Amino acid sequence: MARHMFFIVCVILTIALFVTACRPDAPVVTAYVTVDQPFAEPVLASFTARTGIRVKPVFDTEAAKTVGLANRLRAERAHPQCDVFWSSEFAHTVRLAAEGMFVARDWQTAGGLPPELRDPDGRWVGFGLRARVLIANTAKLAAASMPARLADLLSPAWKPGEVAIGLPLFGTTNTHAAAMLAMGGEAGMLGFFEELKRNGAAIVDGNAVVRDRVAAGACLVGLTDSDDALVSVGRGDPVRMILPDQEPGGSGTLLIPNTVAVIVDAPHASEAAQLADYLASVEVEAMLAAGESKQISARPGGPVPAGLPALDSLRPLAVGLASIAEAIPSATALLRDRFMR
Amino acid sequence: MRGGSLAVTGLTKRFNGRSVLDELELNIDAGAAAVLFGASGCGKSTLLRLIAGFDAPDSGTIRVGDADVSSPGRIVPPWLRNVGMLFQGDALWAHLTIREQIGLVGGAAPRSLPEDRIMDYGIRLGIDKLWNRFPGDLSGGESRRVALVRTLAAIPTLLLLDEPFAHLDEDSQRHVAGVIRDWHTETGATLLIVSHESALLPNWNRFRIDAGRIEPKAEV
Amino acid sequence: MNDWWPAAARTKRSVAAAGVFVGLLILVPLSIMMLASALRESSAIGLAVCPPSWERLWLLAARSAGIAFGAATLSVLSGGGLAWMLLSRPGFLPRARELFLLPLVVPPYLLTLGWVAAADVVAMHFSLQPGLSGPGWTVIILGLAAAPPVALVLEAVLRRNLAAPFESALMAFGPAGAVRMVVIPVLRRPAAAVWLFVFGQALAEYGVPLYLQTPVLATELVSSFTGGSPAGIVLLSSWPLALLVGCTAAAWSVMVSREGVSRRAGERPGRPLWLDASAWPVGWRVGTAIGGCAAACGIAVPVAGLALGALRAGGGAAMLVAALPAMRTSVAIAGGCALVALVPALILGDALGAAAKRIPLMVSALALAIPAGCTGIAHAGFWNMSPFAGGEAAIWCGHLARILPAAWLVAAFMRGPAGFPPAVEAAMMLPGSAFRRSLLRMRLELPRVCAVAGVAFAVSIRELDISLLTVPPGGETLPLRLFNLMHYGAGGDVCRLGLLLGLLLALVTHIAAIVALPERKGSV
Repeated sequence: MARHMFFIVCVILTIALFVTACRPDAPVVTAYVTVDQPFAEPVLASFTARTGIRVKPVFDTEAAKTVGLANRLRAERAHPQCDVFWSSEFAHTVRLAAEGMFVARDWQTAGGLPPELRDPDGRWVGFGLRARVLIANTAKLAAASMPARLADLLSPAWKPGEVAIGLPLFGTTNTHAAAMLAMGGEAGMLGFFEELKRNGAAIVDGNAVVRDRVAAGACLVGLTDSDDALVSVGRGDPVRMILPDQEPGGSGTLLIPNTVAVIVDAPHASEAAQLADYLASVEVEAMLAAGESKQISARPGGPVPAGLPALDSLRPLAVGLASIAEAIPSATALLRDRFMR
Repeated sequence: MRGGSLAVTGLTKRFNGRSVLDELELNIDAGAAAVLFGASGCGKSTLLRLIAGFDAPDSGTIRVGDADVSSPGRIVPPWLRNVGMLFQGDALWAHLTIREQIGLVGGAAPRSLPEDRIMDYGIRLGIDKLWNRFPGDLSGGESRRVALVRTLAAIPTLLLLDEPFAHLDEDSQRHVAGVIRDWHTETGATLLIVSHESALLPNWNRFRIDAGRIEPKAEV
Repeated sequence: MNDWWPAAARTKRSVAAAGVFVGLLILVPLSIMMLASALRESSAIGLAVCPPSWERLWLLAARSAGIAFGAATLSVLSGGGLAWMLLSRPGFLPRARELFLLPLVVPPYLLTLGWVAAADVVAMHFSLQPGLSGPGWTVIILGLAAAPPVALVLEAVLRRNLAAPFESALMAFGPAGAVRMVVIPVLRRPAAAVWLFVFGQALAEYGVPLYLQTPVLATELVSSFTGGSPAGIVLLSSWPLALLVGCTAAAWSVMVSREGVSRRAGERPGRPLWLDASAWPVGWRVGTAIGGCAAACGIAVPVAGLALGALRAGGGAAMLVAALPAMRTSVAIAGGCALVALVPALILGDALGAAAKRIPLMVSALALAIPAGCTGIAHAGFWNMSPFAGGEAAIWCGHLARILPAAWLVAAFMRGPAGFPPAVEAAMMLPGSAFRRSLLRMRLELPRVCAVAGVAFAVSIRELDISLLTVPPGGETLPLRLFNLMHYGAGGDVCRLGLLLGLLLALVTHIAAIVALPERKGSV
């Protein structure tokens, strides 16, 4: 009897699974999202709760990162599957826009966003900023020894392994390299990274690893993103976050916005427009500032996570997003031979 | 209705280069019964398995009734041969009661014994009290008798019995022999039995397998 | 119907149909994507086959082979030691068999999470550098993950082949001589076969090296595709990996086909002589003890790491609730694929068992050896060209293509060397409804059916590479979710999710083991 029951239970479970997998025809929208999944999911859930539109997200993976989803968009160009592209950075967004992937539209909720974070043709908008910051271990490093500028990472005072940076072929470290290329040319960028390598800096796989190594004291300083650094501060780790190059005359800190765009010929255009406008809204910026992602509102006077200065008191890096985006392929090509494992 | 004839022509089967059956010839008329015997390992069970369709001959043909069931490049599946078989080993289905398996075999066959006749045979073999038991509850002898009744529940064109008296005491062997004899008379099916206990059986033709052939070549 | 294949107990038509089904799933997407690239981008083919950077290719190939070599060697040495310990404690294995099967079922990246979580505990305590990375840890994790299943195989080989020869050699030559004259020859070929198998699996492993920041051929394959290279070009350029895994698969299949099925030695009364410690040289006892302990650590450390990690504070139930849709998707795909794969796997398993020749086994081994990344890329590209782009066809077909070779090989190996039991043959004689006959037959072969379905389910539910490449929007699977979240560290939430996946897999293994046990007398 027990074995008959086993089969009966299996059949019932299988039927139940298939039945529950078949949902009634609810409106849906497909979003390709490169924002970290734990941060993006509450925002998308909030959108669904407000509008009843179910979001079918595709997140990037640590395998592919943003470039994977960007290439997927290109591959699907003839038959788009995606409706909205929400990226945690801007470089790929700018390049995809230049390729004609995005719809030029009137952004209903983007009021207050500065012009430098809006595409001139309305193909995308930027919001929710992260800063490229230095992180230092307070237990092993005196305050006076802490770096204040990016160039301080090249100091010969650092012993091999005491400085950590992410592999500059991917992610925001790659974006930072492109920004250096756009500002200081090939010599400036290559000089910085090659000097780091010569000094024995730890080249690790991502900003989170940089943070964790500095927090553990395995490295003393590192270059990472503000959201990663603030997570560590919030955990009570012995670290300090430093916004580099903020001194008078300094070049400023690189700020990286989220970007959102609607795909040309999106299968669910109306739902896509609603989601895109929601993501660009004040409400979402407030969620991103208050949540674990700890992102700075791009709107003057907007919410700022604890531990970060208000936007208007921050000196941003004086390089346009378009210039940085344009420099990414060159920066990657120049660094590939030196840093490819 | 009588059973079908059995015609085996030039049947050869080799295992690991050794000929177990070597150009074997055997003919049994429709409705007739025959007993096959021989030394251990001479190929008796192999012959039955080839006739039933569980193995393919290396050469030769097997014809049951009007149908070629085995010829070069042509092997008919066991369930289409209208051949029944009592296996030498334990062939009972452990998850079904005796009643259920006998009912399944009888119900699936194009011709089968009426239920009262099956019950009669069961009483004669002393297994009528076991109808609601599972095979796992039976002794070796009981299993053998149950297997026989299950096999006899269907009326195939040709019935093969491989050592029907194995694992049985003398008394049971006599009862089994009587049941087989009466079943054959009642159904008219063609019958081929492999057994060393041929003295228990009626005066059916007997022949021996030796060196992979029937000695002497027999026609029944 | 006149095409019966008695040795396989299947019609030739059904075998052909199963073969065509499997061929369509496995070969067609691969072939079409490569052909399409050959036609569309013929200029790129040269670069794919002969890459400009041979140095990098050699570096990756050497690293991949080195890791695989280390993992295979570690698995055989530690698994061998564990096998010896099991042999000397016969009562332990039946109770622990499920535990030893778990590393086959639990994906290596989940074990990696456990190791990382354990390392974090140690690192936090001793203020060491957190996290694990590099080829060394890749070798350790992959090697120790394979040790328990290796132990099961070697233990079975020894138990079936050792008794009388060992005792007579012991009397004639003493302990060291008995090891040299009997034990080593008995173990040599099976150990080589499992070594080759683990080597091939480690070569094609993607998740663990990626997580441990160790670029290898398999990770390069996937990142090339996600980096924008066309599917066909990526598949063509995967020839070094394909060559290595193909040769390995061919080698172990030849070794297995030569070895044949282990001859079951007659059970002898009394206590086997090898249970006496004095029957073995000291060096042998020490070596096997060390190996066995290493293998035991391979299970204990990640489990302890996950458990300790799960106790850390975190987001709580919200994270697990958010993972429910992914879990449902994984279970649905795995269950559905197992159901679909069952019949063709049983048919092909019977055919393979009946053929009992080297070439069919080699073909099966090669099918199993196709890296999951290649299968995922092929299906991702293939279905993207079809009207089913963006749907679930790619992930379902990709999973099926992955699980079928494993399922039919298990079906073949579980088929006894003496063919089918009389009860199954009696079922085959039942005239009338083919459906009734098939059901009865499956019921009679329940342990085999459950094993095949269980293997198919487990391979699908742990599958990462194919899911990553073919996941439709909103169709995230549990391994994919877990793997993504792992990159934020081995926090409490991630460890709890990992434990959930591990428990789910353990439950499936346990249920399959219960149903697959031999029929008890009088039971249903």
